[in-house]
This record gives sequence, structure tokens and C-alpha cells, in this order.
Amino acid sequence: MNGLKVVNVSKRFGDVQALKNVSIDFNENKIYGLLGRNGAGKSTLLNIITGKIFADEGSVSLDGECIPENDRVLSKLFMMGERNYYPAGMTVVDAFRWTKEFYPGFDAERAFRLSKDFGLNIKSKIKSLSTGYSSIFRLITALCVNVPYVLLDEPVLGLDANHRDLFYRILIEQYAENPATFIISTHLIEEVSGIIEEVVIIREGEIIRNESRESLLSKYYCVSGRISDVDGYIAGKRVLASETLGGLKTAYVEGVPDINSPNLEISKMDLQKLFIQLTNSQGGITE
Amino acid sequence: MKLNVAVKYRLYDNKKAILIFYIVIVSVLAFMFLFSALNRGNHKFNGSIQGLELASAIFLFVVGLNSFKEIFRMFMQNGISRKTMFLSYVASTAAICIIMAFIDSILALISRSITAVNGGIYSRGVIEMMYGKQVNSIGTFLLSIILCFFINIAFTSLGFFITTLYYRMNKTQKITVSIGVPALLFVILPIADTLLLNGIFFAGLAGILTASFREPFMCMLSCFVLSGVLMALSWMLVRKAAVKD
Repeated sequence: MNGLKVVNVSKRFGDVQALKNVSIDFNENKIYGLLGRNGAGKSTLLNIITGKIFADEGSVSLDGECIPENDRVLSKLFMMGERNYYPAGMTVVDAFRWTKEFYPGFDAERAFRLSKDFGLNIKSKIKSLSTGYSSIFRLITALCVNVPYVLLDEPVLGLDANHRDLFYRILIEQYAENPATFIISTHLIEEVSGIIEEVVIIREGEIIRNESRESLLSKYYCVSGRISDVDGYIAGKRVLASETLGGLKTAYVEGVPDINSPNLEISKMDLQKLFIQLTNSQGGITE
Repeated sequence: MKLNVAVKYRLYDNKKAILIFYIVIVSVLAFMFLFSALNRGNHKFNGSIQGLELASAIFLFVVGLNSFKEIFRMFMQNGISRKTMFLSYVASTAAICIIMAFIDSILALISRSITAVNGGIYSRGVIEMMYGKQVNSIGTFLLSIILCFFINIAFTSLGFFITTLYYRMNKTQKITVSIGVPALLFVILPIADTLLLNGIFFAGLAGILTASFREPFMCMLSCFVLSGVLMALSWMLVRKAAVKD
């Protein structure tokens, strides 16, 4: 069976239940957005998948083989974590050289080219890099490693807008030329919403949504207008959340719009808005 | 395949430290030679170089202490399993220990020649120091290398065990062990032994240690067993180690 399969994974850190019975499949050659608020369990899930930490319960497999302690399977995965796990005294060029040893498919030429594009000095020691350039170094490594599954945990941490734009462009180009599964965990939902195909939303250690972006967004819409008009419209409908500002109200409604009123403005839901409504503390559908 | 790369990385990681270590050792020996030659016949200058090889054992203990955290993180980043990581540690340690044992035995031979230059400076290797065996044949030279190898392995294993143990412990456990073990060994046990057992415990321990190291082959066997136990304990600690931020 192909794909990355997470089955009933739970993990607790002291009093905190980081993951609760999480089950999810990540299929081949797709770009996933793993979205969740701080402490939702995104990094924990990615760290368990790559064997950096152990699950209390459950299993993780890739193409039918268990991942932990399996060199062959681990060589199909690469995770760019939030933290730098390279030796502090190592230079960027040495890190590229060793990545090539560990992952023979690593494209060193491309890594040097991308370093130039991003303005990364390959002779620098990794510990001397700024937060942004440390992310860039790890991003370039992840983009050139050429494995079927690449996990990116907060890939654009500390990157300026130009570098973020460059990264997204390179990612799309690479995906078009050489498809692989990318799992991107990020807080910058608006920026990645155009890239990701599949959305996985995690809240308090539980997966609350796992479907294609198109499918997810087509299930909701926004209705705006005067409070009385909106209240009248949403009566009896499944409402995700609503916001009132002055005399105007916006409601996020489940389903498809069924009215064309001049007093109401109907618009599509965007991913960030939907994410906020689904993951805020009062999140949930009301009727 | 991954094991080869992991061993290669470990050797690369230790290369610089080993090189610096030998630059220091050779510099010290060169200084001693020079000093001996310049003070030839001057009997005011007396001294000795004994058990030069033990400097390597202590160095390897420190290497063992530094052989876990950084490499573990690097290997976890690069898809190396804990099992391969541990096997690479065993293989690279064996390689480093045998190479260093060979170099040390050669250096010990060289340092002995200082005595020929200046009779006031006395030099002898570890096998002569511990067992009174002069390295004057290929047999004793090989014996010296093998003895040094096992001593090196034992010291590295001890360092590696301590570092993995501390890695796995939380802050409270670290404080408890750091204070508790020395207190137990150097305060509680001696007092308890004197007051309650009339010194039988430490006398027995001394007897066991003496028997364990009384001749080269016993020493090798003891180091081998000690290394095996420490490595087994280290593996138990490594196999469930998680990456800490």
C-alpha cells in the first residue's frame, strides 16, 4: 500500500495530550497544508512521522513498512524542522556535502544555485546564520534532497516577503517538474492557500478536517449585510460563526448560497477565515 | 549502505580532535627530546614519562562523552535509525581505538629512546608500567597494542554511557545522580563499610579489582566485559531516545 499512513497515534507530554488518536493518510505526489494553532500538535505529528520522537500509541508506516528504526523507509523522508539539527560548527557547504552522502539523490549543484538565488553564503557556519538564513539553508536542503516525502515545518520562519515569494515559486516549479508529497505546516495560511491541494486542520491534538482545499472551501460561504437581514437569512441554517461590526454582520454559513438578495452580500470563504472560525476556542457549528 | 556513511561521518567528526590531540602529544615528546638533548649529562634534570597510552584513554573518555547529542541530532535529521547510529558508534569506536592503540604503542617506543639520549629522563609504556613487561619483541609490542585497544574501548564506552544516561535523564534525575553517585561512593559507602562491615566491602572490592587487572589478559578480559556491559546499557538508553529541542 503506497502512501504515508498514520494510525491511531497518541502522544502525551506530561499533563498535555499533544495528539489524540490521530489517523490520517498522506498520499503520493500531493501538497498538503497541515494547519493548526500554536500547540495544536503539528510539529509533534511531523516529529513522530520522521521517528524523531516516539508515539505513546499507534503506528506510522510508509508504503506499507513501519517507519521508526527502518533506514530504508527513513531514506524516503526528509523533514525540515523548525529547529536546526546540524552541528553548530558545520559550514553550509559541508552540510550539503554530508546530505549528499546520506541522501544520494541530493542535487548539490541545484543547492549551490539556489543558495546564490537566495543570497546564502555557503561558506558560512550554520550557527552564524540569522534566523531567516538558517531557514533558507534548511529549505534549500529540503528542496534539493529529492525524496518522495518532504515535510516542511514552518518553512518560511524568519524569511522576508521576497524570499518567501521565491520559495513558493521554486516549490511550485519543482512540484511541476518532479512531483513529490510535500506536507507544509505553517501559520501563514493566506500565503500557502494557493499552493496546497489538501488541507489537514488539527485542533488540540485532533484532526478536525482532512480534505481537498476546493472541497473544503465549497462547503462554506460568507453572508454580509445589516444585522436584521443576516439574522433573517441564517435562521435555520448551519452557521459556523458570525461577526458584528457596527450595524453590519458577517456570518459564515455551511452549504451553498440559496438566495440572491440585494440587501445581502454573498462571498466565497477564504482558507484563513475558515481556519480561524474552525479553530477558535468557540469553534463549531450552531444551528 | 547507511551504516557505512554513518561510520564515515563519525570518523570525520572525530578526525580534527584526534589530530589536535596527537599534535599536542608529539609536541610534548619533541620538547622532551630537545630538553633531554640540551641537558645531556646534567643530572639536575630528572623526570619520567609513564603510561603515555593512558593519555589517549582519557582523551577517548572525553570523546565518548561528546559522541552522542550532536551526532544523534545530525543522524535524526538525515534519516539514520537509532540502531544504525549505535552500530556506527561501535564500529567507529573500534576503528579509532585500534588505530590509536597502534600509534600510542609506537609513540611509547619512541619516548623510550629519550632515556637513551638522557639517562635522567625515564620513560616506559603502559604495559611496562602495569606489568613490568618491556616492549623488546614483536610479541610484547602486539600485546601492548591489544592491551591499549581494550583499555581505550573501556574508557570510550564509559564516556558514551555517561553522556547517553545524562541525555535521557530529566533535570531532577541529573542533579540526583550528579550528587548521589559521588556521595554514595566517597562518603556513604566508606562510612558504612567502616562502621558496619569493618572494611570488608572495600577490601573485597580491592581484591576483585586487583584480580581483574593482575595480568594483561585478565585486564583485556575485564575491559572487554566492562565495555560490553556499558555498551549494552548505552544501547538500552539510545534505542528509546527522543530528539530534544
